[in-house]
Amino acid sequence: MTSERRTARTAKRYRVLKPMVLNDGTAWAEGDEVTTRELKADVLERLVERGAIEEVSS
Amino acid sequence: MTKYGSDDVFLLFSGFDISGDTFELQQVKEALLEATHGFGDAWEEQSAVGVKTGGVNHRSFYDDATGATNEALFGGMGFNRPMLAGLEGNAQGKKCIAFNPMQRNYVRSPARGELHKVSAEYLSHQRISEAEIIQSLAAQTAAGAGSDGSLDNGAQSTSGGTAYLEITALDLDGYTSVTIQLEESSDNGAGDPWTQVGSAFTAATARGGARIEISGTIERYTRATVTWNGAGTSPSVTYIVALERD
Repeated sequence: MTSERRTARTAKRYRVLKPMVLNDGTAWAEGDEVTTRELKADVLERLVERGAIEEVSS
Repeated sequence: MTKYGSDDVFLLFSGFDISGDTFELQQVKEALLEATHGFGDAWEEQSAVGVKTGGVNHRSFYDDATGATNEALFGGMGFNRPMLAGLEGNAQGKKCIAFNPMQRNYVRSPARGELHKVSAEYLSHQRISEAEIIQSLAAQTAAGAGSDGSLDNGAQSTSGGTAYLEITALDLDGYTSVTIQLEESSDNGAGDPWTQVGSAFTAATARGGARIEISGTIERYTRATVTWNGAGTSPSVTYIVALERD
């Protein structure tokens, strides 16, 4: 198993509850999903605490 | 240390900007006290009863133009109306008094040989905030971040706060409404996306003011953004956003 496939299997998925945007224009609308491949784990934790995303149970 | 003068003062409430017609403004915050001295005491003693109060008084010229003092004041008695009263200028990072007072009176005082004067008194309802201006009062036509950009608080805060919005002019030009949003990020939007702080300000269709209470953490950086809802051509909104972190 390649490391990429291993990452894909273990990446946590989160549902976006509040629209989010980065300065580079990357944006997520309410209902989108975001994973640890797109944002750092510590950022995702902050976003969960802020009520901006919630983890999707697999 | 910086001193300020009358050109730094502004007075906004419920979307009315009566700064240009106003020439006296008094802001009061006080603690309710009870005298606690008794027999045998030679001097008065006071104890704070744990309740704070305050308000704003102002004197202005009587002006019957749309959005001016008479329209702003004659129907406001007995209502809570979000107010921002600035002493340090209309600039990002400057402090202003922000609260949700109730207007107690409206006094019209014509006098011989003078322009007509009016005055009004507002009493505090809930907290009187020492708020910081996140987005200064300015017109904006494009959607997106406000002209002042983000404000760096130096660190996150963890005890919530209160946010205030005043929209003093709005031309939707076909759009159905405008949403002003206060956003937060821990790294100024570099890797931590900008997201709405707390609950949203209600989408606006006309001038007005709003106040929202925020609980918990507020990230280090905050900014205001504009979203035009629906479809239209050349909209414009003039607004200010202020935040007090507890």
